[in-house]
Amino acid sequence: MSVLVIESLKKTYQSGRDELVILEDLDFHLGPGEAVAITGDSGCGKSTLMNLIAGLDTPTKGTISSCGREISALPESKLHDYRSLSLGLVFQFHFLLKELTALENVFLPGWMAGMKKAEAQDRALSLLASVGLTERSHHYPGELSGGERQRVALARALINRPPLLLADEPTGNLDESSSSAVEDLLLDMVKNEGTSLVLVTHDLALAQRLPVRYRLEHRKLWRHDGL
Amino acid sequence: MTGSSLRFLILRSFSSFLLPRSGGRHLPGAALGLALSLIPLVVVMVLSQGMIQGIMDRYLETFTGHFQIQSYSGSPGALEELKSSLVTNPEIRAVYTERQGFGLAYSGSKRLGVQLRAVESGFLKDEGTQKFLKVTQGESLRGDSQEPEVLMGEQAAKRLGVKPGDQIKIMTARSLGGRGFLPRITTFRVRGLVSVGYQDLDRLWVFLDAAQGSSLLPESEYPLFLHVKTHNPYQGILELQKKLQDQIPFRFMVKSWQELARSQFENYQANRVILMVIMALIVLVASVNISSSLVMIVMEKTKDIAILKCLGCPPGAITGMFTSLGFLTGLVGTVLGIALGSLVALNLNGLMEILNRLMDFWAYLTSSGAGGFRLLNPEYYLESIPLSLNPWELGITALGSLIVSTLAAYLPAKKAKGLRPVAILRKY
Repeated sequence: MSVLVIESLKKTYQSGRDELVILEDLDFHLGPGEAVAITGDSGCGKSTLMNLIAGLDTPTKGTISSCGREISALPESKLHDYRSLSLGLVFQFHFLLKELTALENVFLPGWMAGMKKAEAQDRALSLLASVGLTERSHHYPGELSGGERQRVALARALINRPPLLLADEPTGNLDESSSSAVEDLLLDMVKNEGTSLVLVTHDLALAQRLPVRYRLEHRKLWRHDGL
Repeated sequence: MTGSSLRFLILRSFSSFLLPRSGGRHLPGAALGLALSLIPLVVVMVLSQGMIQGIMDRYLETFTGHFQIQSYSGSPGALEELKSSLVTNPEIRAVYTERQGFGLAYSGSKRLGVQLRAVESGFLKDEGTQKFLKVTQGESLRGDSQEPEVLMGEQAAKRLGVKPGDQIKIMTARSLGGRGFLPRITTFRVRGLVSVGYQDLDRLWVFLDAAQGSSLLPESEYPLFLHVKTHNPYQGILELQKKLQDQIPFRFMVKSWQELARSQFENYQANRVILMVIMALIVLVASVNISSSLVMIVMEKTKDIAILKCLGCPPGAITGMFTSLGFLTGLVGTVLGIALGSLVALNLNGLMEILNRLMDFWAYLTSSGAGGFRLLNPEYYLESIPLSLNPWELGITALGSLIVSTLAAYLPAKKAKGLRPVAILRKY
């Protein structure tokens, strides 16, 4: 079963009297364990596409299905299940809750999704170990470096073993060395967890590390493996 | 979302909103505001209840009795007979005969209209009477004195300028049908002064012996009545009234204290309700403060709310979280307010005395000559207020405060629930 299927997707925004068409007739397919990179110019609609896949925004037309479930038709009251169990999200900014420790930030989504607290904590500790932050698990986000925060965010995204991970410019805010470490971890962990990955990036070098690459241009996705 | 994880989030966010570390400055202020608004409510509640209870107890034990039985036929003998039969009733504690009338008392150049109360000596010795009617100077009536004697209310004696041992004259009037009145002047020796601690009630009282009363106050104009006391005037009084009315002959009429002191009782209760409503409005305003504090928190925490939604936190849980924050803030404020209010209320007599002394001291320092300041003028209020906490009233107040706080949190909670994460996260 496909992890993500997008058919005839259209997204428009109203700007005064004008209708801005961001995406149109966009089709996309992602199989289990596949990892793709999406590149494109600023403002071409990459983040809009990610928000639509994450169920944070609704399409104007077309359908988005994940694991056989049409998420674009789900009401808000059901979308939280999809976000909680089927999706991992990593943003450019870490978006950790500053009142919680690194460990709490990681295990909370697992606990919210129905895991036992102890089970969620064990899984969170193991993920933090994978991203090399065992020693920092009881630190608050304010006490961590930018790279460490992003590694915690990566661990958090994988706590529920989601079939699909969406990463929107995950290294966009990091310096070169931190960025490289987070990239390595992201690709390793996705491989180890068997999670499908959609990675949106400006960074062509990062995109080239993925086997399949798309370019968002003229409101559609174009396969661009030769990039 | 599991209940335990929601509880974790609520408690963590509540504790963080209370801690300055996380910019928690809104909720402590809101909780404190609620607590401060509850203090006057509790104080007024306890004070007014104590005042009403104290005044009503004095009315019932020293003035109206729990029941009064009057005869339509105007025969004192029949009432005496009825009294003998009533004292054997186990539901009745005591029965006394009394005759009330009016006269003009004067001493020297001072004169005062007084309320004459001719009571049998047992009434003045009754435990209920003695609990409130205190002989403050001189002695009580003996009943076997050869000389006409009276027991005067402290204020009446003060206005006439007499003290125990002095003589006063009392003029009473007997109607001569359509031909006017026949005045009668009798000289009495003041045997003692009394006070019930509530000047509005006893300021005109003059007690005299029952025999003196019958000769001074004619039966046709000032009929004898029975002053009946039960074991508990606040319980089953209407049922007992009906039972007594059925048991005794038809020519007697039984009136309960609720009929005799209805106007006072309803007046006090109405005043109390008005005060409580005003105080409750203050609590309502304080709970609006909780609402506005939570609105501020929602505005400050939009990013966190968006993150939680992205992590799969259901909208209902977001509503529950903010409603719970309102409830917990209300709980802290309510517990604090009820505790502080109770503490102040229970020590109110002492606190008022301290305030009175401070005002006197201030008057002394400023030589304004305004000494003798009394926060609650004893002419209209009890000199010492019986203060006790009513757990039911406190419980209802606490419950009301919690409900209002939780409801006040609903609006910001709804606002938080409706936030769209995509619009918020786009800003970062």
